[in-house]
Amino acid sequence: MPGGNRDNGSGSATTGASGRRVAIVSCAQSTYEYPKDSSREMMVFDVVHELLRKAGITKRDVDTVISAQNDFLEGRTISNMRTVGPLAAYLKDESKVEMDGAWALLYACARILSGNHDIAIVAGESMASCYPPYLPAIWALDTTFDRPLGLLNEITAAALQAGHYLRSGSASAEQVAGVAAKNLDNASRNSHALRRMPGATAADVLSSRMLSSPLHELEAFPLTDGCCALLLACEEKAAAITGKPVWISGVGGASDTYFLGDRDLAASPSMHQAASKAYAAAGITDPARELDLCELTECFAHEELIFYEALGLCPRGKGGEYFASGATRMDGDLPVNPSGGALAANPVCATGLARVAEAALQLRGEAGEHQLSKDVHTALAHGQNGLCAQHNMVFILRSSEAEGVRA
Amino acid sequence: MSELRNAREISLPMDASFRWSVGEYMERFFAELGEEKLVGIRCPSCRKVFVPPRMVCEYCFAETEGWVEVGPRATVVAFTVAHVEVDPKSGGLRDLEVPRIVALIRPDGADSAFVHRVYEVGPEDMQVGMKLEPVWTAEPCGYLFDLPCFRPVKGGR
Repeated sequence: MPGGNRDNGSGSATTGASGRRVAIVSCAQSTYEYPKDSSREMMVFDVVHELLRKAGITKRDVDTVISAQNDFLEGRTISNMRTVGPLAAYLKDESKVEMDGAWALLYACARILSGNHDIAIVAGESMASCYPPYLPAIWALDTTFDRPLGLLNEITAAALQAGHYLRSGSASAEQVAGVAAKNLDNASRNSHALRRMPGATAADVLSSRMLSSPLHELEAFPLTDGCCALLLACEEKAAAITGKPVWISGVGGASDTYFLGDRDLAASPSMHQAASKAYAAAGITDPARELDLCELTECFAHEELIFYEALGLCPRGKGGEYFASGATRMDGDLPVNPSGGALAANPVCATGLARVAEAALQLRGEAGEHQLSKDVHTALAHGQNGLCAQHNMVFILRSSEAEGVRA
Repeated sequence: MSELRNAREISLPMDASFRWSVGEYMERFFAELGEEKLVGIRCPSCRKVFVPPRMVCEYCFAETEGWVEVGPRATVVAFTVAHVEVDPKSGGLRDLEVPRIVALIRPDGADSAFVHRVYEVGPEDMQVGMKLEPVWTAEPCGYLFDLPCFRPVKGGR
């Protein structure tokens, strides 16, 4: 039994000082589209409505609501002002993070662990079809040097990193393209995904448009509209909602420097730090063996390979080799992004939450056509912010069996 | 008389001006550009030299101090040849008529690199490790574009 030795383990930081545990008890996602024929309010309402309906609870049962939204992506300040209603947050203790949804999830976990709240809605959303899609990242640049020079954007920054990683000898261009092909093929079985390419090959990816050498269009995230929401509950309330709670067994986050020219772009020390903390909290010592799947926010194909190394799934510099072993394919030992990941849909602010939701669906056996054929009890899910994945957040999720909780 | 209609798109352009304090270190950096000099600042703790200068070394959580002239020669750390740029109005990607070299460049004597333009070299001749030199405008006056780009050192090693 994968988590059998955890009964005497005390590692789970997410039980906190209060001795509480937090479970994901429901999740809901919009279909990811571009453009989506919906208003923002209805997109959020539809997802949150489905979230509560699946859980069999009403707005009255919810204690707190945390959203991930961004003012620049809505063209107004206080972007959550108009979503109080659709988030089921009217007269609730509501708050927002202006980051990826993985940070909203951390915030909601903390609220439940505090003992002040029992049930939380966490939701992330954005509509790239409504904002000037590549400008917000430019508005995030250093205002005295990088931004006025006008050279850096999400694409050129990622291309600098991809080129540096290839030159380090850690992977070949075909292996990077192979990551995209794997994920886009995986996405063909995920009815929520935007970019679905059954049978995609590395050659297909390498023949897509060159955006900025060595980065091709299919190696970069697609512009996406979408919303994802999770329902969290404390242990006492979880059992009444679902027989298949997914436990948050560990979490860790870390931020690298903003300055690309300071960083070792062929590695991700912030991902390594984040994962190390999450592993320690969940009592994981050999992630490649103990994890059953990963859902990573790979906004660009080469990032997934850098993350393999940073997560300790393979030695430093062996990302390409590890991918080539087939371990991370749907039928491999440690499937990565069975949903298709961020290359298949990247609804900014919702992407990290969607990774958590997809990992939770796998643990619940509810992923549908892209459900893994093996038993899954322990999963890793990840969100990121910033250029070249400056800031990373890692969650370890477990089934009741692996967490050692009696149903 | 007009009918009520659903609004599919409402255009409310934002035309706000912001000011960013560049701090005295960036003031000095720009002023030195006016003298055709590249300067950085040293962290008293880790001794790293940062270009452009920063007032705080985030690695040591220490205030930086001590100006250092760096370059003028610099080395290509990484580069990309961009075929698209971001359209400043729509925010989408648009094709560049001439592909643009964007490079991460480390001046000699600095511990950090910055992103800048490289001219007078074709994409096919760009190489990591290539030696560059700054190209100054005819009449530098102490602002960022006194140094519009770098170019390969002739016969450069």
